[in-house]
Amino acid sequence: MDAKRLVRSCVSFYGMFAASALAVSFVCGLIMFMYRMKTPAVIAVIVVVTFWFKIAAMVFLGFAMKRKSWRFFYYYKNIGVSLRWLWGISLVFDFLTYVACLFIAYQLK
Amino acid sequence: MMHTLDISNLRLEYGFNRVLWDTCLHCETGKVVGILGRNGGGKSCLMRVIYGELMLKDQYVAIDRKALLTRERRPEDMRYLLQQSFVPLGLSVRRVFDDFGVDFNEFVTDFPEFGNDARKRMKAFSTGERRIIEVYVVLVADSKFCLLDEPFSFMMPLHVQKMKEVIWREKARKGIVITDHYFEDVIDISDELFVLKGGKTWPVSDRGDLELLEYIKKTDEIQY
Repeated sequence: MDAKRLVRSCVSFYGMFAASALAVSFVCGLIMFMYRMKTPAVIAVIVVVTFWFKIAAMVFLGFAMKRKSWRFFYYYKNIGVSLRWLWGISLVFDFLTYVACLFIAYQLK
Repeated sequence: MMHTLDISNLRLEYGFNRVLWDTCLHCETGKVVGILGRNGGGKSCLMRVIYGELMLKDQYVAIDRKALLTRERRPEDMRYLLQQSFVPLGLSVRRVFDDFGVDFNEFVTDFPEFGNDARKRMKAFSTGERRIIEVYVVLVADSKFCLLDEPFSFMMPLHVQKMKEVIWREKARKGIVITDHYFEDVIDISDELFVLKGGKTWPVSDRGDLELLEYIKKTDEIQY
């Protein structure tokens, strides 16, 4: 598989649901920012709750994409880009944005 | 180089409705195989089975006598034009041609009205214009076989004629399976023609056969 084509495809594929996915990560970061001065126990609860919130949002987005944007999947199959790779890379990147948001929000003074 | 596509043993039922029943089809390089059929007759299902999107029990789909046992299809083997618009609307025309490995300048030679549109995004075009781009890239991109599901939908007659010329030109280096309700255009370009009825593929040669299979009405029976 052509690496350039894979990267470009991942960007355009993630772009289809980036707004919603990034909004969820941002909300998680906002929650962390609001409670960052609390005790470690509270922080742990926030991490657990936002983690499952993010996972649920990712699953929901996955199903929504399958229902609403299924026809675009044929584009990627037609150009030889595996949907497994696209989903895998997009979801890993999306999860990393969530981790980055939490980390940055925790570090902000 | 000559390639063959063989399909047989397809059986698909929805409740009591037999969509595909022992359906078989053969296509090879240099041939256009046309498939006609009523709405809901199973044409798109047949295309989806060939493209691996639908896996049926006991199905046999093979290229050059090598059975395709998984859902994976390599673009070098076959490309599939979906009935619906399938190119993401945010992509530019240049990007789409680049992804499919098709020369945009060649496209402009065939469709000069797109000459200044290379940088435009797909969403800037009308449904018909988008369809022209989609059909063209699927048709011209390198592959052994090409599955076209309703390629002439939304296109104006002038573009349909041009696209038929492109199909004629491209069939020299690939096999093409085409289905559309514009049956006269399909008849024009097909080397072999079938009607999908009752789950089976019935070979037809002229309008008379289509009337017998109740795909069209006899001209003198039409009431205005």
